[in-house]
Amino acid sequence: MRRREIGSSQRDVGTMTVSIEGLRVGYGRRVVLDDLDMELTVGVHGLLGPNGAGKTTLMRVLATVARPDRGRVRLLGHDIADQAALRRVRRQLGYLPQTFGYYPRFTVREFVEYFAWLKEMPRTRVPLAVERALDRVGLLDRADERMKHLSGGMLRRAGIAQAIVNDPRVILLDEPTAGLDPEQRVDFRELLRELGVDACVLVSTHLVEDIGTACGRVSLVEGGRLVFTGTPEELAGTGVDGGSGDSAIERGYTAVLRSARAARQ
Amino acid sequence: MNSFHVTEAALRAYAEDRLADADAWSVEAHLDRCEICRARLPLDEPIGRLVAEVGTALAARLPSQGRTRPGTRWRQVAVLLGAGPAARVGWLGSVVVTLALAVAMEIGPPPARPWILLLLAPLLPVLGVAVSYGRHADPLHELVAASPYAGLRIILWRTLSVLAVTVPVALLGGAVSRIGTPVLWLLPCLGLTALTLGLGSLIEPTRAGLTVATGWAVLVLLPQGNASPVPPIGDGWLVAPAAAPVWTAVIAAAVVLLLARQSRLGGEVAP
Repeated sequence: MRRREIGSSQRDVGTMTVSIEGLRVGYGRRVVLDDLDMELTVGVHGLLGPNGAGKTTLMRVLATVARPDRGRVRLLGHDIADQAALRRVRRQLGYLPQTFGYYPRFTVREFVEYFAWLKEMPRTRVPLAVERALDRVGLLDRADERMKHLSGGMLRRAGIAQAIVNDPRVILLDEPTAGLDPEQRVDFRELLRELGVDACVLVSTHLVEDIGTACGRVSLVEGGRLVFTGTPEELAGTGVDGGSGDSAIERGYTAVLRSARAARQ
Repeated sequence: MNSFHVTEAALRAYAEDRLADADAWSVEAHLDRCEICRARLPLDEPIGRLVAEVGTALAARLPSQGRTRPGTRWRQVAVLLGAGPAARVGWLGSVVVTLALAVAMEIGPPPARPWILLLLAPLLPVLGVAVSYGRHADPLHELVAASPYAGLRIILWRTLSVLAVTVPVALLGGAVSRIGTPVLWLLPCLGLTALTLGLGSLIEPTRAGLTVATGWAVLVLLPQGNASPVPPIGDGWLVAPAAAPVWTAVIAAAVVLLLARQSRLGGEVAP
């Protein structure tokens, strides 16, 4: 009760949300997302779905990189079709794509610094923000190494560092745990919980076990539509009668997928 | 920073432990904040050595700060200009090649083919710009596209960084080749660059660069001579004062196109 009071008095809840209405995205004739509605608030949200379900496309639309064919997307209270508001929204955005390259001569520190400048952070805050982001992903001791000498897991962490360097209020992480070893995954979930305290974090993954421990809410996308949204417990609950898998969440996941596929046919 | 400083006598008394507790505390509080007075503190030799040793031991235990850069306007400009996929490697190479060509022409026999310079110099910025943004040329395109600098702003920064090194080459080319007026070599340089940017809002930037380069090559290499309506390239009609209005019109048209279609720059939607 008391926590809710603090939340509503200190933050304007209305501007913290991600809101999607009737989103449609297609490439040529292929429709990737179709009439998708979604609402997100502060916290860590898991985005689940089979490969090719449209998770990455949804991430790219929210990152303002891909353009929707139809529908309305509001980030932090601004419609992203509005070019003037877009720049302000992008300052508050953190985005880790599924795959990203780098300039080989960049050091990790320069890589993160480059995005601190691109996100128009106040000049005096840049050096400290870069150190903090590197520290949060555990790369401070490798900060002056060149990107081309990093392993896959370290590259992914450098990518997370650039995503969070500007203390964004909307954070989009597409498959952030790919390439991380089990210990790094545990650290990453800890970081997720920290980020989710005052930002809206959307994490896409196809690993169901990532969801249960770190996410407050889960959304499931299948065939370009949102077929489930709720807490991880609620997802687990749908698997009680039917569904297959080793854990309760996995059983819930397969049960929801099956009924969604059955409903489509 | 601090107008007040501890007197010499008080400092000496503090160092020799002759001050009353309350006075010693206030001297100590001041020393915490004032580097000047700390430096003036007379230390006898054993104490001085102890302080130095403790200082060394502590410094060794601190993590190294690494190459942290200051958050200044200068650094911001340096990062925006110096970063980018094509920065340094690609275009510095072309600049070196052109410079070598220019020097060879200057010290060798009288330039047999001065039009080579007119062909190459304005194309350097075109090629530089074509490979400095867009989903195919920029490995960080996806990340840059989600930042407030996305679109025209980052492209203009990168264009500026390309022009900064290629414009001097064009001027030098003008001076060495003795075709037209050297200053007017800026016109094809800027004109073709603007065309590449403008075209890059319609088609993929690398393709736009290739199209502009081909067009320029055709223009420069057109059959010349008495039978041809095109004047010989040696007359410098492409870089003559008479061509200035045409180039200005080209630049203006390209800028209008660029501004009209700036939200489409770099080809954002792709599978």
